[in-house]
Amino acid sequence: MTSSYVLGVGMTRFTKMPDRTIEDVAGDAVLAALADAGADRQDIGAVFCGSVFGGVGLGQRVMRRVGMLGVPIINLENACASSGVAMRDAVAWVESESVEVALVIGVEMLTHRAAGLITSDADGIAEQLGLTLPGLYAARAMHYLREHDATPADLATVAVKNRRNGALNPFAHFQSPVTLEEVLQSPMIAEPLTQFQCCPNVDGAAAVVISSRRTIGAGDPSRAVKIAGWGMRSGNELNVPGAEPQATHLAATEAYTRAGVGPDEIDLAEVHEPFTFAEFEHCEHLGFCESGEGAIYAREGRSAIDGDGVAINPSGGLISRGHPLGASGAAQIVEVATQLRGEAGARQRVGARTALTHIMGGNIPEIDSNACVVHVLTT
Amino acid sequence: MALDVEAIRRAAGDGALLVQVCRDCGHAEFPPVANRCPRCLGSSLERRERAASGTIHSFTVMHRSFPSFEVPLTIAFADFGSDLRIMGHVIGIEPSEVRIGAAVAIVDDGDAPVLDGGPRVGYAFQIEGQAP
Repeated sequence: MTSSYVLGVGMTRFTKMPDRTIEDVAGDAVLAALADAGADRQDIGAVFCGSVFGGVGLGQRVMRRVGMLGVPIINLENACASSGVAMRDAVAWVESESVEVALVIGVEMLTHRAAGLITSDADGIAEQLGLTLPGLYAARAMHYLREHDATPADLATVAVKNRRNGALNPFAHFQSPVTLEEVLQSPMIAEPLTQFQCCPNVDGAAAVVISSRRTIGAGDPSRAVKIAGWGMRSGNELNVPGAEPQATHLAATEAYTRAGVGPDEIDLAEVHEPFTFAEFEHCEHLGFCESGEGAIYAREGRSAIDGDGVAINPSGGLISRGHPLGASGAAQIVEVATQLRGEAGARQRVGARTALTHIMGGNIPEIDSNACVVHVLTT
Repeated sequence: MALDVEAIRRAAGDGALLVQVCRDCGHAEFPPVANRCPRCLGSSLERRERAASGTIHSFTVMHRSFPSFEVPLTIAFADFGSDLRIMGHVIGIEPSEVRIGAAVAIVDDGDAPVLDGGPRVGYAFQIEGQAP
């Protein structure tokens, strides 16, 4: 197996774009990624397109608009992890030398949907009960607050941090910070989660060019970012007393092992946090803090960009950047590549050398998740 | 197999859960919708009414939901025995009074906070006793 590198990244701002088509928005991200890589369209050997609601043949529709038909195009749906899975599959094609250069796309247009609330299984018991995704995470948060050293204010600190980070990211939907009081006083959605602790439904696209070579075309090899490791799992059954989510820990362990690095070497991480509570749990499962100490990690500011722990979601994360489901996994790669190149401007993690992305999709009541993907990237 | 709401409701009227049990390995599932045991892959499944008293593992009070539901809407995950964690509406109590660890009984969904024409599951949770 050969190694693989991120050569180019591009994305649109994640925000509400109801008047634009999904093909054109994705095309913007694709052309930005190609330009960033110094690549030509004909350099791309295969395309992996992740989306949840993009519909049949989305990757082909996008490629048609940018004149790139003919190469293999693979469409992937794995809920919110769709383009994280697209990335992992593209890496597998490159590292197995099936193709030399691959293009990853993530795109979603949530304002095109009539209803704002997203369901994972319209016929499932959860939907029949009216249990929303915020409600599901809220119930897990209630249990966590009872079991551990954690308060509603600790939850709110995650939103304060991520809105502060997002205000420094021109691609983020929310461009303004919020105070702890504003977070706690925003409308209650599902106790204990208030509105500002929930990711906004937005539109957007992100794209990544990867290759087994450090440079193609006019690209600068010093800007290549190494894809050092990856791991992927589907979730375990949770509808049994005593069951705990395992997918994040297992996917991360696999990625760390492949990369030959440990969680103590990670400088920054883009972590799946559609709701504030998720950061507590994931920081524990990724090994950034001890079990049960996720809230303390946030409370003490260790996960800030300039904190003494891992900088968590320097992009602003799903809560500030917004969460166009299938696009978020690729957007995480865009952020960590930008950070590892030292090109993140005001939100730069100083000295960043090793970074992690973690995306999950289809966190439903019965199982941990449909898919969990972790990547480790290095300079 | 589709959700058999009427059968679930009849069992709930007796204070019982309608579970699907594998005759080969004893694995129990709720709701009863599968055609094959996911544990041993046996196809000899039967529905049984299981007397049910549960304990709330977690819950939330939702202030926003889909259009067919009244809010605030209290939904709990409750543990029944060692093998089933089930979600359901909590009825007959002020949302602010619900506690993790409370004991719940299975009742039918006649008082569930669902608007006319909304989806029905046949059962709901009623608090029997609060946790200390």
